[in-house]
Amino acid sequence: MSTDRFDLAIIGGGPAGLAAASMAFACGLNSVLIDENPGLGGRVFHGIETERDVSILGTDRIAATTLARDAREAATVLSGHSVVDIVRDHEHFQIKTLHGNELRSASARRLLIATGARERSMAFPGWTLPGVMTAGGVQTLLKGARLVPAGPVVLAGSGPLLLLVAVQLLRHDVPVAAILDTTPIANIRRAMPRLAGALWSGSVLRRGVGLLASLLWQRVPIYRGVNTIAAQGDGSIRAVTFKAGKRTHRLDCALLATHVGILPDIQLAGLVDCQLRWDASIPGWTPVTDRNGKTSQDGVFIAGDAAGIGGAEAAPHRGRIAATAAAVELGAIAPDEGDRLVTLDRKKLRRLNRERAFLDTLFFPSPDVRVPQDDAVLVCRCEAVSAGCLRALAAADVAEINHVKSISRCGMGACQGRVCGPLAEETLKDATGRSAEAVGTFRVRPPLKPVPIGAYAAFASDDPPAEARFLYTADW
Amino acid sequence: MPLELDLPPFRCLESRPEVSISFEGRDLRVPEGISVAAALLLHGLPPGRRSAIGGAQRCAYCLIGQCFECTMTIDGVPYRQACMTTVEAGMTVERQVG
Repeated sequence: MSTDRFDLAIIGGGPAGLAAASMAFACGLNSVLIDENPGLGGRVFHGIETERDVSILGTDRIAATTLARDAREAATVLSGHSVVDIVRDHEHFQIKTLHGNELRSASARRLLIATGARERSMAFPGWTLPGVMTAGGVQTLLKGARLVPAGPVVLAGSGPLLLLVAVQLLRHDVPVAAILDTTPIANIRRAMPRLAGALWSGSVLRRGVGLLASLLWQRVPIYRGVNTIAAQGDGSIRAVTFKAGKRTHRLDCALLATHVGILPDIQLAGLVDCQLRWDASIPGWTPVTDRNGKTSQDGVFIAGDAAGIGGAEAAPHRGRIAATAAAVELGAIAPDEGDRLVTLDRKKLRRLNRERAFLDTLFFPSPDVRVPQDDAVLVCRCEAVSAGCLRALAAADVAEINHVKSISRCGMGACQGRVCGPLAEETLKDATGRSAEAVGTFRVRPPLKPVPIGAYAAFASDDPPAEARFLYTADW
Repeated sequence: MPLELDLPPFRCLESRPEVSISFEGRDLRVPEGISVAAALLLHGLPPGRRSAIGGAQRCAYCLIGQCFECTMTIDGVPYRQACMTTVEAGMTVERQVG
């Protein structure tokens, strides 16, 4: 099977990847844009290419339509392709993708990872019941399939997305029974010194105030300082119970949407063995990059939320900067030309970072949403490993997360720790008092998605075998 | 075959041309272009695997291809993510244990 060769492979068709594709084209690079969704736009602009009426969800989505159209002209676009493995083959990265039930391969001299973020999970009794979803998931159904739940819906957690989803549901006449806000009250005091800087720098805060006003106007009950959430039901969710202050409440609902912030999607960075660092401000693991998005792994760049949460407004700027840096490395443009191209992007990013600092402080997740309190709660949904099981291992001094994985199977299921990783890390840290670095994070192993064995058999490759798999040099 | 589970069905904000898919032997009319997960939610059916440990019915949780709770046997191939797979006319969808 022949492999298409490119200068640059951009993985992820969200705002960072789309902007990177256009910039790469402007720099004279021949690039491929690989994305696992049927259409471009990523998560934030999901469904942008099939939307009939772009006015429904705001002006930024209209701008994103242009971004997607430009990217299609600028790069070879492989939609519906999930990256399952990447290996280095001499001077090229060989990227294996699964398209339907078929394996394909592409190769490129530079790699730009723009896979965005994933939602942090909140684990509580009943969170595996049908009818409990992430707020981002509910929004994806609205944006893509144009589906809304019948309601009543309860939203629980913390962060701007929670308010946004509530308002979007109300706009489509979905009854929102309540918002359960888990934001620690103390966060507000800590965030205040950063408020002034944030007000002048980005749009999330201003929009957030608008959303809150809209919810208050529509008299949606908002419970503050919520903890001890549990989904009740037999077969699927029927109600949610929780504590607000000293009182215990019970609300009937058909859907519980949870959101406690987002984390960089580090699956590909981990696969190609980029160095990660613990970012205490999120808190979570983040790839180490320089200001151009260049990682510790030669030839690999990361842009957008995958390189550390910066938000959708910052992502195109980060995509352009990383694509330009890749073009400079490949000798397509001179370094000073590269600097000139991204001057405005850097300026805009400096402003947006001030707002991010405020949001990170205000919505810093409380320990009781990061660590499941009840021993019976499943941390790992795939392999049904409970918080109690992890605590028992911690008590026996087994607290390095890959060691825990080998013994308990936590993180060994189909999701490969994407959902349970942060929960397991926090549970082990909490139980032992060890640092994030001592507990570590799951090593990423290919294939990143289940691949039918027949697909491997059919992938009779004429390509030379890869020179070497990445060496796993991390000492955890 | 009766299904022991029901979710309050989602509703679609747009009318789109429909296609037929088969879920566990029953025919479902669903809007074209949407994901298998969305198609089942529209009919009040949980798109998801049954846990290999304990057998509990799971349901799509993240809907962005991360959680693998919506893995199903689609056109005879197991472990396909219902949230990442677009419906096609004549597609067969079955629940799997996994």
